[in-house]
Amino acid sequence: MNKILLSSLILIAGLFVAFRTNIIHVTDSPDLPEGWPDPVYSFKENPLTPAGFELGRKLFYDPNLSRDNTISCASCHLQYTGFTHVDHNVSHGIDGKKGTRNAPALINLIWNSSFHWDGGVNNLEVQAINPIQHPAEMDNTLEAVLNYLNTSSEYKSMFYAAFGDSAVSSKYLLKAITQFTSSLISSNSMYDKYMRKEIDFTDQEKNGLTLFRKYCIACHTEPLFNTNKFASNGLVMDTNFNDIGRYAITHNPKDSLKFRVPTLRNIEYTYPYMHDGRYRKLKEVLDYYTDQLDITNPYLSAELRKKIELTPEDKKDLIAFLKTLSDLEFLYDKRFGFPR
Amino acid sequence: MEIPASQHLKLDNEPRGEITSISFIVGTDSSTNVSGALDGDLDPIKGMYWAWNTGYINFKLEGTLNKLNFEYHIGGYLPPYSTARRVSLQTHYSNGELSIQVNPFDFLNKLNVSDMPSVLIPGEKASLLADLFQQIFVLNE
Repeated sequence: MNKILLSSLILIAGLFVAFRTNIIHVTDSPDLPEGWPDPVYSFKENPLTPAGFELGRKLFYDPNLSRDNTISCASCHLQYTGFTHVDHNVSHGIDGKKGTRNAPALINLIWNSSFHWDGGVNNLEVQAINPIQHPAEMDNTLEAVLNYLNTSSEYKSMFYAAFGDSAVSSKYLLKAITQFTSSLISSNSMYDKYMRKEIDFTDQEKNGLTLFRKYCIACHTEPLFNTNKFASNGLVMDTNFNDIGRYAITHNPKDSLKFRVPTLRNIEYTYPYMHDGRYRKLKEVLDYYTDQLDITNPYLSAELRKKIELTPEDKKDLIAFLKTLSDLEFLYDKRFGFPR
Repeated sequence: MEIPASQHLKLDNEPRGEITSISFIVGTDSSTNVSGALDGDLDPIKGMYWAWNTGYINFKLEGTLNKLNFEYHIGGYLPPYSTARRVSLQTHYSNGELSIQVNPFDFLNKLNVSDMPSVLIPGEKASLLADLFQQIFVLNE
């Protein structure tokens, strides 16, 4: 090959490397965004490998994990809409049965110290037991799932490749699913590129960011746009569900009507909003905070005990900013899609 | 449910001399409860695990007493309602084999089953019942 072609190729390769210096490569773990907090989940007992990831992905998209072979994880956690169940306030699972809570978006889970709206799950690995066993979701047993996997030569060889053991146990099933779900990292939205000074925001988006930092970041903290806190934003309990939130786990009266703060990443795509999906549009959410929030509500978290003042123009700007949290690379990343 | 093989425990280090007491913990420690997917006796498939409030059930007793169904799933690791308990038994045995018995009626007789036929979640009641662990084990000499 001649000198010009060679130096051009080296230049292009160099530019490619320079473009993604915001990523830190960590052994046995997914690539981590530079400058972010340390993950909570430890890969020490579950080192990430290509074989483990592919097995986890196959399991995630496999409806045979449900009692009647119709419901997979992906049935309520669709990639294109931030791995949640868009357009559903609460999801419907097996036999069309409805649950009581909005399906959370599976985004950046390794930074979570607990899972579920009430934080009842303390480790990402064991979360999957819940949908597998829940009578309104997949309505199955771990025994039946393991029996299915242990009678599939394809799965047995994939488990062998991932863990060195073709006898499928619940430990390996759960670790495999975790290798997939832990890899669902969204850190390349327009907001991220703006923060890395790779692109600029419009004036509207900049104003939206300023408003966001004034009113929202105490709970929806950058860069994750959530924290591990439980909070009440004053929503009146919906008597269709009678959901008392974190109190159901701790039985501490201070936890009444408190829920995990969800991430706002990809919020444009993850409607409807709140633990029971009661708001379909971001405008409705903002209208709640400005017009209906009762700052004297004794259950209300301290961070919200101040009047939120937004003009109609402010709301447009804030929504324009929230849309910059959309990460199309994440939503369309083929590595996370249905395995072919 | 009986798992006969689990009812015999062989210790790796044979103690020398006379054994004067034996002490063990009923239940799991808090770090075990936050360690994710474990196997062996700690496999969640074994029926001693809560998925909705992740952690181990340390003691399970179910049955019917005078036509009243009872269900005690005693678990929880968070203070102040941790349900693991240390049990200590005195003995004069020295030949290397100990037989420890547990009598479910020693548990049931110490509470009013009809007043409280089920405890299925962590919390104050579970913690109070866990105190009974120390009263139900007997050395069979």
